[in-house]
Amino acid sequence: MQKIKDLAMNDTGFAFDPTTGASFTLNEVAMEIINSLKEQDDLQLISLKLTEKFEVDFEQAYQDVQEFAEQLKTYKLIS
Amino acid sequence: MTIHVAISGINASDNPGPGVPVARSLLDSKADIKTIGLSYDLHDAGNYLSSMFDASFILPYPSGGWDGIIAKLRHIKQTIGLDVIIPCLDAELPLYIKYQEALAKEDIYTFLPTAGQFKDRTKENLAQLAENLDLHHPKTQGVINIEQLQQALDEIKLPVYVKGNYYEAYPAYTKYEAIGHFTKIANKWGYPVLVQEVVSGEELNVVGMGDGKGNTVGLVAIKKLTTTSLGKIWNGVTIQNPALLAAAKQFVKLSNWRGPFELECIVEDERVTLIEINPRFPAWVYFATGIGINLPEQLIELAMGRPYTQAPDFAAGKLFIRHTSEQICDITDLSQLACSGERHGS
Repeated sequence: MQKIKDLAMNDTGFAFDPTTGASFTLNEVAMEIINSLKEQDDLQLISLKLTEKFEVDFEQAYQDVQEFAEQLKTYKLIS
Repeated sequence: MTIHVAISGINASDNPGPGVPVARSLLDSKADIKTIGLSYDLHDAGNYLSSMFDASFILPYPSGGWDGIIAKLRHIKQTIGLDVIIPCLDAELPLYIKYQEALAKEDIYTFLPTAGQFKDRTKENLAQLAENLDLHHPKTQGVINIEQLQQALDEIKLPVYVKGNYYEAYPAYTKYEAIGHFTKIANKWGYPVLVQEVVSGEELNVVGMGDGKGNTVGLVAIKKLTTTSLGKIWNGVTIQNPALLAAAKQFVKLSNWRGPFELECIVEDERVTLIEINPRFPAWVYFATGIGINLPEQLIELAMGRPYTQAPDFAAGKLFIRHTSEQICDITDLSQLACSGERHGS
């Protein structure tokens, strides 16, 4: 199971992993990506959502989402 | 009825004992409790915290044997009353465990592990206990000289932790660091000194209590967010780690653990590595009390043979913030303790 589902996150971008005690601060884009991951969206759909919400083209958004997903893997929040 | 409870480990230095937070927990209780500090050192802060302890007594060292200690306990019982003792220091636990039945015959109650339970969680036997619990345990070797230390380093490989049998642990990244730690620890705490493999993962801790029949009375799991140079918690947060909590309940169930305990573990995903089991309350026990799980209060009920209340579940995300504080007293407070070995009231 993806641990990201359990990640507690507030509106200001503070996230807390209740299983390890780790906490993170997130910007608006990161919050958007994590919320989408919680809804089990795939990376392409998340990137598409970002193009609708922020001024960014799909290629750039997809690259950023991939990089962020790698970061989440290092924190073992997704596999 | 007033219950007189004596509590040891009332030092409150940068390596604090559990005694003051245990007393604070009992003061939070609705029960009518008078707290008595048991100390081995005139300078223990608890001796001067009149808001925490109704009286304080200096005991002879446990290394001097039981006779001196029991004489002092009888004196306390006769002068102000004594119903329950909560020993909070590792070094005195073997004596209290050995004499717990004798104490009960004098209407002084404890709630401690059995001698067998105490022995099974010692550092020499912990690997076997971990295996029985289906948990991991880091490679560990006890060494008594530099030659054995070198052999242990060859086998376990650097980096390692160099640990005292009772207290203190330091990471060593080079052979010379390991020798330095070995010498320092051996001089302070004696032999054997333990050399332990470094395990990756989150360092997580659990405080809990078993009823002696395989049931968990209460549990709280935490992550230490910041620590002192001695590795003592300074800030912490409660966590809900299913693998860790399951391991703690399994420990209580399989061992029929009786009394308080602290598990020190390293957790990576579902893999729980058991590092240490302390057979007493940790110094951060008030963290549990503060979020509604008053384990010292429950210990009193169990010690006195009363039905206990199962602790509620706890929420993740509660913070523990330790801070320093100063107490101003008069020199007569010290002299009272120094001359008579006891101090009463404010």
